[in-house]
Amino acid sequence: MSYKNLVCTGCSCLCDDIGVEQEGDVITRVENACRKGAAFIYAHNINERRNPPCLVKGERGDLTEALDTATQLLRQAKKPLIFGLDNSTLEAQARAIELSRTLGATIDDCSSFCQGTVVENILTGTLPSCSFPQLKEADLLVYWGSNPYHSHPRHISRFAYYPFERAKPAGLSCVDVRDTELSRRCRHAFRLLPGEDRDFIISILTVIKEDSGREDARAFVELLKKSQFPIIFVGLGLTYALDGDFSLFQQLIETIKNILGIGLAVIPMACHTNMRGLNHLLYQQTGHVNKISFANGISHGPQFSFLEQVRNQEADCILIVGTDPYSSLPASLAKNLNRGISLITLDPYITPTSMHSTVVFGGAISGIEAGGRVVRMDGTEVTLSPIKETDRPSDEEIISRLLEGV
Amino acid sequence: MKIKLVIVTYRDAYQWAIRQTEGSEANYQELSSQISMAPTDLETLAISEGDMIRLSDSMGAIVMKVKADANCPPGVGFVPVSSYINKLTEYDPVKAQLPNFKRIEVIAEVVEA
Amino acid sequence: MTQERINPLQIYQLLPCTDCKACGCETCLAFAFELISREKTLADCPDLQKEEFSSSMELLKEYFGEELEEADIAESGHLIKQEKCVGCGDCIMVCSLGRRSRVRPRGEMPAFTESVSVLQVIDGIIHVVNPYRCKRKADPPEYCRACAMRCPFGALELVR
Repeated sequence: MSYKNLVCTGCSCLCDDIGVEQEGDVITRVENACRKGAAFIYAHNINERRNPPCLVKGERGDLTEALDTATQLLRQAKKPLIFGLDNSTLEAQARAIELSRTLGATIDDCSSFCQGTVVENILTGTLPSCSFPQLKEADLLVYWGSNPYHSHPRHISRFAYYPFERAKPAGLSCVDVRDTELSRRCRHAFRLLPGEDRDFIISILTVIKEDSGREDARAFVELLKKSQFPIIFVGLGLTYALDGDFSLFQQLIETIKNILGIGLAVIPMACHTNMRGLNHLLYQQTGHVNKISFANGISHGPQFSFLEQVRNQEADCILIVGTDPYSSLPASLAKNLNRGISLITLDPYITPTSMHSTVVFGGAISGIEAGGRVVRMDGTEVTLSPIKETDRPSDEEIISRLLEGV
Repeated sequence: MKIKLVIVTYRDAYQWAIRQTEGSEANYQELSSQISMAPTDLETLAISEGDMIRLSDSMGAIVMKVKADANCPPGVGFVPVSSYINKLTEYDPVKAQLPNFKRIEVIAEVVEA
Repeated sequence: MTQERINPLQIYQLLPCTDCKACGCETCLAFAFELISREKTLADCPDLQKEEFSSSMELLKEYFGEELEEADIAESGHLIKQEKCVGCGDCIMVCSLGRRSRVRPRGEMPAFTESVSVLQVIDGIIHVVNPYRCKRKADPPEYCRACAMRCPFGALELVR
């Protein structure tokens, strides 16, 4: 069987032109997907890497038993926490928000130490943004703190730079601390030292206002002045250099708009498939994109971030959906997950986190085995059309049944 | 000989793809334990490409294989993000709101064979 | 020699430059060209095997890598270094044929539906699928190098 137009859920580009050939149950050919996407699609073939559908305390169990144990753990918990969901569909995320309301739980995802602040600023309107098709009008693309060739390999060829027949080719530029594949091909590449981004932004502001400042900031302003509709792709490099505080960056965008008269748009280089989806849902329901507690009505604050909850050992039962905090958190923090916290993990793959969990659900993989809707990094909704039938339950199904049980 | 280094982690597509298909196997570990450093830093430490260095901070210590990168500024090391380098990263809300994935201050020293 | 793209003169400087003709080429410069087109291998030069050229040899080996099979070079002259390719697809988009192959369903982002272009990403790595559509195989041939020039990883080389 061959399929066209599969949506790749390897990253938040969500390329929807992937061709796949399947023999029996095994995928044998993947067309158009990048190295990362192809590896992601092939990975689900490898049974040794997959979790069995249900594991209770390391033993294989049936779904009802696993659901019962998980429900009990969640019910007994004084401070339950739901974390992750960045690789699940909007439907599963909606159910998970409902579940945290019912439990009075805290809910957070990777965006609290990723691009959450940028998405929040875009949703509240403090940072202007645009969608990929609107990039046709863009005449300058600046990647700040990100190397798309490694993080989102098809970003340049399929979404940002090459797909449009513009009257004049758009300029390509980057601001980065590393010498990357992108910086080598940009005529105007700005190299900073680690942590220098704040200085660079302040310097750009003084160049615009007082016409004095660093040489590279001057060059950056000159580049902006030549452009009508520049776009800045905010990478993790910038987010971390600003320590998640975008007020200075907002000031920069406003100054560029008010003094130079240039309307600039920002697109976050979100890493996870549907990180922006959960941010959108939570924003609609609570007015904030992450770090929400439903314990007493709706409360929001840094104390509800996953990092803080783990550091202070606040949560006593964590439902982890499609993420691997044991690998992605600082090891000093991940250690706290061992200290008497019961973990319930939904992950198709065997990870250090699933190995430490009391209950593990090896669910279906969104996009390949389970359908639904997801939100691309530019805020556009994409519908997934799965190509494989599986008896594994989807994230949506597991969370719905947990909700019923609770 | 010891020097101070600031480590910046980055995403590597090859390493990410290997993680997907092979899990945390040998190839993934090899790609995750490479550090790119400025040639002048290599001279200071009197080591050459392919040698091992020990990186340590208050969180712990790990050993990495050195790669020379002429475009790397002195005092900075670039490492692909993985659970291996996470042994050194820390999260301290007093210092910063986010973990120090992009700015890990470590001491680098030569590992005697 | 970590540079992504190399020219014959840079190779020539690493060769013995004695024009001994032992390899069957008239000059060492001609040998450099044949090395790049993979018609000759490093083993064809007897002087290069000597101790005094070991540092040159190391650099040359690093660039040329393992010995190639004839089948690794496509009819169109493309040599793909699979271990370097990330499948970004820039090479497809800079090719005039690749650009034409884009269709835009639903007014959305372009999608590659038919493999009418010379190159296509298969299993995450670029492959030559239609070598005879390449301008380099047209009559008269057009020596376009757009795809190789634009590869950010130096994974694509045009050797013939």
